[in-house]
Amino acid sequence: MSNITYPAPPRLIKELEFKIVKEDWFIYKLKDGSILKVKPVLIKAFETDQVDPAGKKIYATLGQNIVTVTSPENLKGTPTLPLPPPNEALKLDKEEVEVEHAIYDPQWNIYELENGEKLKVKIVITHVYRIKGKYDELGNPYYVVQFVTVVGSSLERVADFRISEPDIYKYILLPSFSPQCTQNQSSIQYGSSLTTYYKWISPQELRLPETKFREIPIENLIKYLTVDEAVVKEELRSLLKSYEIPEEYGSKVEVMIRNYIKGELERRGLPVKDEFVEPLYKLFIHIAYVMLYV
Amino acid sequence: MYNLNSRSLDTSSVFKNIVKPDLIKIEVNLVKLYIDIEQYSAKKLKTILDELVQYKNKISKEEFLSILERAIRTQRCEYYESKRILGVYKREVKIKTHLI
Repeated sequence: MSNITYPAPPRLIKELEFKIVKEDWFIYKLKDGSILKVKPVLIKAFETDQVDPAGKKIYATLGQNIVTVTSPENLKGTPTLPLPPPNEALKLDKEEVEVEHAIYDPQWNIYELENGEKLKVKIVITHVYRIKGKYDELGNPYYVVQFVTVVGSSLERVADFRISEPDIYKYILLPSFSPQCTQNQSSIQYGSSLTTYYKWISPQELRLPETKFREIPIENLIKYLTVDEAVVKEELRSLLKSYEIPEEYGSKVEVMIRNYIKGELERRGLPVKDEFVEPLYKLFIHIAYVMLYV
Repeated sequence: MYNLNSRSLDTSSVFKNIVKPDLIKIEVNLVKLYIDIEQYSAKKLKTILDELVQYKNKISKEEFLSILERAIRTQRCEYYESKRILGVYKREVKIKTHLI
């Protein structure tokens, strides 16, 4: 495994929406009696500009593992907050605790991407350390859990999955996530079912989307009820351009919106007259423009 | 009956008219636009119209704008978060509608 060479990080080309098919806890009993629960959660999925040797798309994923522990009373102690980050904690006096057995193993957490492909995520615990003298808010011992997260993109290719190298982890602690968390990992992982390489990188390496705040003061809305038609046309034109829709589709969109407004007026028993539709149409376009124009 | 063997069909011109990736992309973008405006403009329009219903019997051409203004002023401040993804660019738009 040490001879594996990792490719350059892929360029993210499109964020993909996804829905949860199955997202469950992996539950383990530790030899010291604690119950450890880990849930790998997919946060974002991206299409990248890379494909694997078989021509399958490589996806980049941003995920987080939620970890919680419940310990028997004899292991509990007085909370010692704040808790050190995992990489610092591992330098302290610690004891390795073996996993006795899996109480519940859901096999894979499964997500369906908007393009119909499925992403599968699972974890494999490699080491569990109990940090001596450190306890969380509830008095549970502070555990640092090392695991590898496996991501694949096809249900049929379980056998082709590869596991990432444990020594390339980068830990990011989110201490306030949950009082029971002993450790949280946040990472981006990329790869697909057929690739032989997986790598963990920090979220900071991800080019996050630009964020814009939009506000529509009420006085502006009222002003737009009587605004010149040319202004409304210009806003619609800009909006269409923003959606990469050619200008000639403007009349189609206009008709669609006017019909929609007429339908809503009719449904409420309000008069469906052009002089009523017009200001509502202006309002409609202005809200859409302010909110959605990029 | 037309004999298919009598001449070869020039399908290239047929497909040229049917398969137009640009058209598909435009249609997809139109759907995206409709979904987005349904979520924001249409949602707000509906709440304004619901407010207008109580003035149903008073609505006239002359009074409409002032009644509409009154209906708009009753709107609550709402906060939306939305993501728009355009082409290769990812832009997240957090929308705050200040309607008090």
